[in-house]
Amino acid sequence: MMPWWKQTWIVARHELSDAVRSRRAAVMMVLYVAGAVTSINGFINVLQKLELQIAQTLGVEALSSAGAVTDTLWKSRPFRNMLMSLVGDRSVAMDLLSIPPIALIYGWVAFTFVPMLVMLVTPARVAEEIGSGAVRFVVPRCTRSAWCAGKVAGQSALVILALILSVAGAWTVARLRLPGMDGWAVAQAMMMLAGKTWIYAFAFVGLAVGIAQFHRSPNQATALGFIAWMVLGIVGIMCHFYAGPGIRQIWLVIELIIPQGHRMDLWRMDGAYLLSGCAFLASLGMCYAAVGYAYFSRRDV
Amino acid sequence: MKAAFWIPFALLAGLVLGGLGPRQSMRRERDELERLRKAVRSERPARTDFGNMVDFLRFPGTAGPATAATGTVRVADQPDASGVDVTPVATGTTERVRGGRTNLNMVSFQERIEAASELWRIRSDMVRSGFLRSARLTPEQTVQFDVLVEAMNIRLKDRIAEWTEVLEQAESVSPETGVRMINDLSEVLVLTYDEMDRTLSPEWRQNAGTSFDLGSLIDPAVAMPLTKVEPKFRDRARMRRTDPVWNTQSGGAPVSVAP
Repeated sequence: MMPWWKQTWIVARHELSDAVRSRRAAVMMVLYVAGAVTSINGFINVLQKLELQIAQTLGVEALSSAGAVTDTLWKSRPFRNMLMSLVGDRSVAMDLLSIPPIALIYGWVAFTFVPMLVMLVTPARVAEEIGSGAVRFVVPRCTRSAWCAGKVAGQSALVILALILSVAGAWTVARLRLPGMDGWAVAQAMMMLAGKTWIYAFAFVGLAVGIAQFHRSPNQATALGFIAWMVLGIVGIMCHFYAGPGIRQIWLVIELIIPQGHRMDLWRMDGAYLLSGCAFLASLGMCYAAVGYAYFSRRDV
Repeated sequence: MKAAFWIPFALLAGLVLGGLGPRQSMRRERDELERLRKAVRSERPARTDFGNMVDFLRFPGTAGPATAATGTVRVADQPDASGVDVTPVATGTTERVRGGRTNLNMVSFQERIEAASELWRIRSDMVRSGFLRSARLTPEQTVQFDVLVEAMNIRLKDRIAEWTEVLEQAESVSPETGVRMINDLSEVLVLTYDEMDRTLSPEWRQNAGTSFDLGSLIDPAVAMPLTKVEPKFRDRARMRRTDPVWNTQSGGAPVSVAP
């Protein structure tokens, strides 16, 4: 029998090629890329109107292209102070301010919607294979753990593809609409944020694969995945507000075992926070998938 | 292989157990910081109110010391070092100013100029960005332009310092002084325009358009020397608001307004 990692690699490769060809995944990916591009375009429209208003208020000449006023505002002390009070953490605010505004918007869109994309695509892909009985032809040739790990890897690769396409689309729109933009700096920032989003999404891929292994119906798995995504979002907000001393420390523990609790770590530029966030999210993704695997490994397929 | 199944859980448990303590203390420190921030914010209005009170007590003609919020700054109602009649150029009125200024008030005025300077810097940055885009300057010309603007602000600061000395020492200043001061300062701008014509590309003016104004690039910080005469301005302005007699010269003639 082939080594475990080789089995995983083959399953992942097939998973990616099948997912790309599947109608559902393709539609979701196109929707996500279109959403990212539309968001950037909408942001630039707002920016232009805002800059026009600022230029009028300050009595300076309005520029035909957006960006110059925003860049200046971005570097100004009053704006920085405002952002610091909004974020509530000086170091986080300073990290955010080091990112070009357009890339920051891209990052926000990616961090918000990529998990949703994952939860809409991945559970259906895995549950469909179990439900249709296709998995019966695979498991004699590889271990169930390799199959499960391959599914996680394949779906993660699909997320990379979606992120690369969205970066390309968003950057192109920004380049066309903002001629004065520092293209290289924005591209770098967008790629960095896409990478961070991928790490964040990995935890959701694990969760989606974990959930899907309990189901045979793709629709049921998708619905449950979507509900799980929403519940985690609500729990994340509750943790933020209710965590405190004494018994309320339980919220702190809950915050550590959900992906949303490590989201802000990924926005930081400090390596210590980043490394901690990455380790948490990677282990969370694996744990979620492993919980599903614990059931799937004994399941009659 | 079965042991490998537990690896992610062991890793997560380690991370959670290891991260719980630091996170808890970080949250506590953050809450404490927030509490202190709120405390500082709630103190601010009291200080401002006191500043207003000090301003009110420093009304010309009133006497008596006052203590600032910190309890260390005192208002001494003593004659000005020069003890002479001073005519602020802003109105041309002649008034005798008595009483020293508090450090609190002087710092406050300087802070106001600094704040204005900060806001103005944003505005001038916008104008600069717009100008550089429309004038299509080369990197060398951009540096040259920045040097010219910097030189203009330095010249303006020097001239204002000179005029401040004149205002401090002058027994009386006529409206003509105001006109001469404007003329002197505007010469600096004209000189800068000429320098731009000399050093930048010939078509810069056409590219930049008619709305380009060097005045937008003047840093309000150049007015910092005026802090020396500002108290007299403010006291006089207060008197003007409360007493119409201050609007006339000793002979009762209407007062002309100079910049």
